[in-house]
Amino acid sequence: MGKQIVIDPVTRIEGHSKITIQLDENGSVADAQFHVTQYRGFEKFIEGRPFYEMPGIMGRICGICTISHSMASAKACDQIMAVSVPYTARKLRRIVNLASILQSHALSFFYLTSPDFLLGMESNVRKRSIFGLVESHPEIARDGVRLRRFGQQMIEWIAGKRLHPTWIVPGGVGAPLTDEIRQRILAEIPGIYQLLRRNIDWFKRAMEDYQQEIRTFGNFPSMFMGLVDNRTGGLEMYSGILRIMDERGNIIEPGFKPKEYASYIGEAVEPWSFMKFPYFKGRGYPEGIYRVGPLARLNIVDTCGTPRANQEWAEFRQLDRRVVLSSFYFHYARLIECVYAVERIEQLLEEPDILNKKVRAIAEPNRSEGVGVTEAPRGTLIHHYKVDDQGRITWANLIVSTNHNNLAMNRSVQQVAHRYVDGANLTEGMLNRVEAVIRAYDPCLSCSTHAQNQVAMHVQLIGPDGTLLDEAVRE
Amino acid sequence: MLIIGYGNTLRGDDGLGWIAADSLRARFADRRVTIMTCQQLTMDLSEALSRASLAILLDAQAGDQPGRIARCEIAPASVTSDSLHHHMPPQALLDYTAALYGRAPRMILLTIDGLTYDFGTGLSAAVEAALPHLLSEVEALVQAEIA
Repeated sequence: MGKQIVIDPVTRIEGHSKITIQLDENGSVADAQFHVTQYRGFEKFIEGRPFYEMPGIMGRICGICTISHSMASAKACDQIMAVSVPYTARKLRRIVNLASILQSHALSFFYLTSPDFLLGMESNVRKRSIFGLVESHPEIARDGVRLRRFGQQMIEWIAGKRLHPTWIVPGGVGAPLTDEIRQRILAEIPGIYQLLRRNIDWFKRAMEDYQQEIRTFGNFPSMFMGLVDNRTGGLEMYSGILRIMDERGNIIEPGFKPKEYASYIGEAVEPWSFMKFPYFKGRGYPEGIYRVGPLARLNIVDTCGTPRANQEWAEFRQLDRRVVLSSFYFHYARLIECVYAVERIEQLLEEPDILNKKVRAIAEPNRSEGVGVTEAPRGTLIHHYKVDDQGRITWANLIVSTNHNNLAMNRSVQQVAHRYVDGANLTEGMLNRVEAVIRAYDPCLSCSTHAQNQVAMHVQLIGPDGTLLDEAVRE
Repeated sequence: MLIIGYGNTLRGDDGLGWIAADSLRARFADRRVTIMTCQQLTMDLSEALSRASLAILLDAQAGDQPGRIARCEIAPASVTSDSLHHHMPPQALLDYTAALYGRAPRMILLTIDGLTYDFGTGLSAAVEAALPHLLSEVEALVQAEIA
């Protein structure tokens, strides 16, 4: 057995993970894997709790995606109650969901990823962070801070708290919007458009210097999945139908109802990770590999539905002939989605009924099951609950955005390791590229680690020279 | 002027910053005073800090004399990448603010030694008793700044 390189922890992502790269006898990369090493048991410990507690509890899965989890959870609860959420409440939920996407994309792009582009993949690791940018590119760091603050501030203004608000409730939202808050948000939007324009411009120029990475960073055929508007096929983050596109750009599932997800998506487990491996059942495992998130969303839609985002999306679609395959372009897609988010928020805030006071429907549990699906910053998020006659949770299943990308992240790590890692002449920059391809997916691992019970474990004891000393397997 | 109360409202005395900040909202209707609350200090706050002449931070701290009020004038500390973890000291936040925006406010950290940080809301009796004194100190600082 050849040596093994372990990158532990993977840095500048949300959550805890490691990457192992197996070298052959010649020091060349034989295999590579992305392991999620943390574990959370939300699906299990909510059993027995009342369904109406779920948005509050599920939001605690994560400090970044708290809105997304509360939102998907509340939508599942809406189904259990069998109520129609008031129109204004739906719009307010959409605004807060978009604000959450905005703050998360700002975190991913500016805080976690842009140091690689602005300071270089091979630059001094001690400076390669947002704090390094403060010194070298303060104007871009300022924009990152401002954009994230804007997203967080909207959440605080509308939902009461930046972190873990309890405003998203079954049947609607906890409080209506005031005109004062509406005006405050609208007043900031022109400046945010300018901010996004100048950052998209520099990033498009920067991409010209990363052609090699574009060719090798998760650049492989796969399917793509996400929500689309059921009337227009447009970009949709809150509701709609799920669409799947194949690696040649053909729509192979034009739109199935989110509650039918289990007919299309299977979940496999592997002994070396706490994260499940979802796959498209039509192709089986692991051939049913697909990607979700910004890259997938901009691939599958027929339009963004807003003028500024549409203009940029048209350029995005020119990057490849039928479908944009390189995961490097997740970053570009993220910026385009920021533009979309701001435009949609502005549109929604201008709607005449946005200040209506009726924002919540109240009911007892009227169904035994509910499925809530939204688009979280990282992709499609599914919450599925079953309840007993009293509305207590008896079973839950979550398929979290990062889960969907698990197969793709592993394939990406293998691709980058094969291209860049030389076991005989190892540099920090090589390993940073392996981490960087994971960062392209912006994984949120605290959200996505859900395998339990059925997970077999494979523990290996590796000696300092890389030789396998012992191993234990739990089937 | 900017007042930031921070901490975790679900961990006993660690909720002091929020409770103090909420109490101060009623006292300072003055538009020159902005009051914010947050779980922890993050870089996002630097934008607001850069616009302030005086920043007062309110927090609980682990100490051996529950109810003791401490006042500390914060000086900027050099930027290090270590601060990307889940804790940012006020010194680093001040330093980032200066680096990003070219200016930073005078910053004062007011703390009360906490007694308990167990799960639960509300303050211990010792911290509760010290709270009015803390609020008076904030008021005195604000009045001096206005003057």
